[in-house]
Amino acid sequence: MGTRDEVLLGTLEHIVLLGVLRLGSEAYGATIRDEIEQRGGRAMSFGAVYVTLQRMESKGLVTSRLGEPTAERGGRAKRFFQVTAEGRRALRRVQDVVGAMAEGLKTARGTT
Amino acid sequence: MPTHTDWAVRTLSRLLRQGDGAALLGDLTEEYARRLNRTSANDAAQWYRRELYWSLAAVLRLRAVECVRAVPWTIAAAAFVVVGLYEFLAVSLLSLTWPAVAQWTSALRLVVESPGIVAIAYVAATFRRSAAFVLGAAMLCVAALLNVITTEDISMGYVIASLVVGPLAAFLGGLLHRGPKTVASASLVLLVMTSSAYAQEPTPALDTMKTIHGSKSPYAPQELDAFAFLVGKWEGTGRTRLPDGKVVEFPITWIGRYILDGTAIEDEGHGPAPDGSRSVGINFRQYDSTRKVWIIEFLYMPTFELFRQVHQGSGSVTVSGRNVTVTSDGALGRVREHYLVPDDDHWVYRQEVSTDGGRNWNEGRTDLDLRRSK
Repeated sequence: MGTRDEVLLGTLEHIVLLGVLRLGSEAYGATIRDEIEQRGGRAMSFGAVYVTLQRMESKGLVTSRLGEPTAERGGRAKRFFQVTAEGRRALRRVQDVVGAMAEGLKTARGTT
Repeated sequence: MPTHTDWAVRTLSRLLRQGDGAALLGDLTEEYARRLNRTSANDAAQWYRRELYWSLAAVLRLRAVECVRAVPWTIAAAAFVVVGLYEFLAVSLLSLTWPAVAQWTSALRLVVESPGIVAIAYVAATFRRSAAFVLGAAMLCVAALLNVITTEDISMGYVIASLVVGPLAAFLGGLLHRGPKTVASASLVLLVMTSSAYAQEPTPALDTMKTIHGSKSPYAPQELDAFAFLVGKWEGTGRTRLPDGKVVEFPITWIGRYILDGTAIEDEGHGPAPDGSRSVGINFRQYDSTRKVWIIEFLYMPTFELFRQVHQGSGSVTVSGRNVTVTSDGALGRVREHYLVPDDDHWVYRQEVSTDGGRNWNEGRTDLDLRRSK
């Protein structure tokens, strides 16, 4: 059973966190957004991605580091994100809860 | 790069954490460069703008949601209720100790209550600093709403005080947790605004017995002099016979003054009614020299009944030396009011009523004996 102290994930946070996890060392704003759009079929603005990542970083679910500035980015650096151990635990808890709640529902729906 | 996007870029950079704005714009620039190779410059620029504005809208929305979630609504709501209870208590106490201020629409009441509001906001801010500011904002909104929807006659001083003193007192309560300089500045602002509100407040207690008697206009008709003896303040006693025949005596004060720039006389009698309640009757007397008629009307304040005693085609005024008789027809029958003026400091009023068209008169219905107040 979970406790009230556990970090809860919103839908947006859940999706973005999974995106960061999938991309590994290549997770930054543009790639995370593309991953969500391609895999999840959900269009997100860059702004929404960054605000969500910032919020998750303040909760300790992800960490970030700045890369090197490049000319093709107008001299701006990329900010790379990485899922923390706490972020992985939060993801597992959500998957467990969702899995437990969904268990048996497909069979039940099939019989009705 | 697409032009006319500077303001959106700057706003986005301010709303995002330091470094995130640059990273986001770098992502946009990177994707824009890729699109330039694949599509036309127009399409790429259109994409850039759309993404930039979409990002700005998303960041604004998410930041707004964060702000609303961060507000300590419960503490602020509790503080608001406490302020309401405190105001009721303060008005009750003031009605005993300082009745002139114990009015809901008194600016001075708000000023007197402000230290209590500062204290309430200070306590709220000990739980969450922003609670005091939310309290102040809520007080401001409620005051503005009440000022708009109220049907009462409110002074400009009250409007200013309700919009400034209460909310500012709440803000000051929150600022007490900060440094002394901030507190001193806020106190100074509160003091200035309070003085401004108080300066615009009308005298809270009006004494209707205080009056200036004015003077007759040189353009007023000479006929008006017939009632000039009424001008001034008079004290005396009255006697009235009740329907059951019993005679009641009572003290009475009479005040007469020139009005309408000295072209008419308004005089009023203040005294207790037979049942002991306060009673005021107001007379208006003017002579219309064009139509050569008197206009005399009497307003009985306890029941707000207006009696049109003399006007064109009804009633009359007869002057004999310094004595005047006003005759009028009303619900009681025909009424004759005699004003007897022995000297400048003394006049007597006697009322007679006839119920048979003037053949027989019922004397002594109401008599007044008044002398000039020293």
